[in-house]
Amino acid sequence: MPVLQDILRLWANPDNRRRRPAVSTEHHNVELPGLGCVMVSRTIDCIGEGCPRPQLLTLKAFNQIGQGDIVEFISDNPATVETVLDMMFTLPGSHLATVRTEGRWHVYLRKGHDQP
Amino acid sequence: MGKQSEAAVIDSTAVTDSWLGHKGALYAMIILGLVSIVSMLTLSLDLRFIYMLVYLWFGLVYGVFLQYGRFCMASAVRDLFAVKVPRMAVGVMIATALFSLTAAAVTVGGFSTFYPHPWGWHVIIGGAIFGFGIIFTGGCASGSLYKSGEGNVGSMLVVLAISVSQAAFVMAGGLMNRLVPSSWTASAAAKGMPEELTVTNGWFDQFMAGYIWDLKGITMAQWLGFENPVIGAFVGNALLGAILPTIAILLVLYLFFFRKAYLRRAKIAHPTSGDELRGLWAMLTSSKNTALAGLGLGIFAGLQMWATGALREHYQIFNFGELLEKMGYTNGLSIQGTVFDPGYWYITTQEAQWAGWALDQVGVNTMDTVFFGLENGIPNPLLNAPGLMSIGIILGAAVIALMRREFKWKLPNLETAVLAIVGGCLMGIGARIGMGCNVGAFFAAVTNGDMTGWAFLLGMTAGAFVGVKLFNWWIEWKLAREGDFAL
Repeated sequence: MPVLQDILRLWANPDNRRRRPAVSTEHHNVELPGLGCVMVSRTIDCIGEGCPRPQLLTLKAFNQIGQGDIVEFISDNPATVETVLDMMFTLPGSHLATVRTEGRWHVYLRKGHDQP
Repeated sequence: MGKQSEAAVIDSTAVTDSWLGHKGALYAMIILGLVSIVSMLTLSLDLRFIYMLVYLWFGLVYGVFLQYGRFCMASAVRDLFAVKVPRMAVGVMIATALFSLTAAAVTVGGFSTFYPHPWGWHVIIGGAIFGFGIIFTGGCASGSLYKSGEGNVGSMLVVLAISVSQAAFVMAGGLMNRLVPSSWTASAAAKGMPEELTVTNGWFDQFMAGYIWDLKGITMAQWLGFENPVIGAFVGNALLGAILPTIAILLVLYLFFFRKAYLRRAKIAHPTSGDELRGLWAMLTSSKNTALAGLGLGIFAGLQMWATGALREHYQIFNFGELLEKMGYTNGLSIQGTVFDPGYWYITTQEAQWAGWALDQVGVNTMDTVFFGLENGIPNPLLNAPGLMSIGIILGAAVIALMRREFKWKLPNLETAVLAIVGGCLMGIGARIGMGCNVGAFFAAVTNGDMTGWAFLLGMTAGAFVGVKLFNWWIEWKLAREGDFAL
């Protein structure tokens, strides 16, 4: 039964359990399509989180980083991803890229409205 | 807004070319297949069950639109205050304007099953409690249903909390009786209600019989005294009651939440009226999916009223309770022989009935209340037509979420679960005081020329505003305690 297997896998997978959203200030490099290698200065891991916490954490991260710094936002909630992209309009910030893998979105955002 | 198209989007989940060729689509087909088979088996028992299946299938369609447009009233008011994103609010407003036109067409056609809600301060107070609750649950009544369909277990807890809290609230007596003004008790006692309802016992009973029943509901068309039904429906209810207020709200949203960022983005220092119009258009089109969903919801909500109206005509009934009785199902009917059967899109009342029925099964007398005993009944969930609509919404949302590869089981942690239950309870209580949720008390109301819906929205916005402030404070406090963001 593939359905049963899926349910078992679901409960076994820690990704499906909501955990405390992790905000990491550790810098790391990622390869982004069309942009090459960029340095991420904040990672906001909101797997399992529903609105409005991810939005508020993103807002807070943007208040702390400098112009041109990049935030990596990770979520498994499509509605949240769309709202965070909309936030770039007012913050201001720009959306660099989205990498979608099974069940999650990695969104790369840059503070400031001028394109590089 | 809508800047997604500019940036690269890499989708490693798109393993096949065909959007139908993945496992999610298979599960979606299985759900649709099972619902079809169950529908046919039900019809083979008795053709008259078609009345109930209309609710189920319309619910399925609503679920598809809700998930597609991410139609969430909680998001509409919350994102506005929390992060100054007007997208969902704009989408909901466009949807309201479009739905009002289809509702007017249904009214002119004579199929409308809508009755205006009585006006009183309870609408604003209920809306405020409801609006406060939705911040903590992360979804409104309809939003929680579609998110349940996306596999969000936290949202399922919200639905459960809405269900149980309403049933508990409408039954609560004891200490709650002391909060009842004596004028309500006197007025309720004077109504000559049957003995078994014990109408002077219980806060909600006296609220209904002693307060609500003395109030009047009126549509915009009736208030303005339009005699021509076409002018009444389209000019009175739709244009004056829904579309003009919507345009006013959209202008406010543009001026306070969109204009500045738009002009800065477009590098316009001295905007002409043309620039302002282009800005307004950019705001309206940024929520295309929500607006499209709103149009779809409006059309189908109109069709549902029409289909239910036609079936009532065909079976010569006013209420599904009569049909249930003819088919031999008399359990759970109210003392008037009726069940809750609005004939249009509604969310919270049927959820209260689920809990009412469950409590009845374990021996609690729920039928001595106005809400269950006199008005709505407590039918078995399998025979609860609007209840099947709610289940349909969950299934419909699951179908499209699976198709779009957005379905994912999400289990709540303790904090989220507690917030879901507390917020859900507040939503349930607010919905009962305000006579509905964001759908029944706002969306379905304003689009039918019932101005109490705008009052509910006002209360909901105020409650959400306070809720966002409190939630923000809570997050700050938690972050400070846990040492995140420490530089």
